[in-house]
Amino acid sequence: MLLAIGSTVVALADEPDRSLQADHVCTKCHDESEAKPVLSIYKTAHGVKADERTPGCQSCHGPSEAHVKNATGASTRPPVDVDFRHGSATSTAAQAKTCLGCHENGQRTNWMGSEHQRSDMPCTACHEIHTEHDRVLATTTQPDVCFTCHKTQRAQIHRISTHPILAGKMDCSDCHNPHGSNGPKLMVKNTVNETCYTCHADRRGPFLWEHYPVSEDCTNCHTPHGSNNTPLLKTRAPWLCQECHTSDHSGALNSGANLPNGAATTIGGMLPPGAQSPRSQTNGRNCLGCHPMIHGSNNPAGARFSK
Amino acid sequence: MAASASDAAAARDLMQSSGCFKCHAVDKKKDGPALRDVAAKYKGVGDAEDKLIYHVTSGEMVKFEDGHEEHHKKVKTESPKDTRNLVQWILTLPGGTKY
Repeated sequence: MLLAIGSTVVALADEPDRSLQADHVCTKCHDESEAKPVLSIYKTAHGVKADERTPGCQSCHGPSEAHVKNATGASTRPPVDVDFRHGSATSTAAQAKTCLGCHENGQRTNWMGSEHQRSDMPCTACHEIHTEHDRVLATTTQPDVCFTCHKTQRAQIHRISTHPILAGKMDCSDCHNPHGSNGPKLMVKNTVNETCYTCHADRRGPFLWEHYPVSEDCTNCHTPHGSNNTPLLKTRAPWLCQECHTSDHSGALNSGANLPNGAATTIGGMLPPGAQSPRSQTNGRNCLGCHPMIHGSNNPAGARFSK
Repeated sequence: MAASASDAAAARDLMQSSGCFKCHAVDKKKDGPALRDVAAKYKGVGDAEDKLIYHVTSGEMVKFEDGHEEHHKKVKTESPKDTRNLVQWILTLPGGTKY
């Protein structure tokens, strides 16, 4: 009796799992000995066999009869029908079609026509399908995947003023949707500002006194990936402000015009040696010292964003 | 004995990069015999090394269980020394296995 039970157990153990029967045609060769692990896909969402929608090997790679049967007897088998390896004969469009067969929804709705699609990038350029932890899906590792190509941004996030990407608190997809978007620069929202406001809600307004460049586009003044001018400014104040504001004391750096001690601090537009007051326009927080509410003001007397 | 001097790690690496493990495992039968069985089969055979080197470098036809035949993969190395090391490592594997 015991022997009978024992042999039954052995028989069951030798049988591949019922849910993996279809995969067995592949896994009998492509097993744990592969240089690039393939079986780890069973630790991913693609390997959840309790969900009948979950694909098997041939759902994505195709039936691949030529590869399985190797009718020609070649020592190197013909490739699978849908080959996701770099440089494979399977077109990028065909690779993407395979993935989009299940994933063409939600964030991937705008894939067709998006920058990455038009650059002929396959899904596997960023995603590692068989790996237990796809690097591009984790906040701490995603930026490195993006920076493989976006090297300027890699450099920018090392500047003094940045979003906390290196700290692991933000990743690229907090602002960008790499699969396509209705907005510019693959923004997750329809505009740059709308994207920024998802975190910086205090800048959204509405304000009684609006600073129009602010409500038009945050990147008029800010560069989002990193700057040596805090906070993420494209140029340091007062020069940043002077790009638009060219009259009165905003125009002449050392004039002191209409500023406290303005007349006393400068002679002929220059700061004389031994002057008691520094240049007012470059003192302290520069323009923002007197115009702190630069993003907009709700104070009835805030027309100049001073309060 | 030359076989005992084989570099096991290098042999395994070469086998993996050549795709040998797709059909052969060390101690279980796949489409091809277990490597331990190969070692057992060639134990005491004088020209075992040369026979196996020919097998893994010539691309000779091999027959599968289902009856079809195909060319055996060639190891991906130009170095006879590496190929010999691989074969020597296989021949050092202990015993046979049952399946």
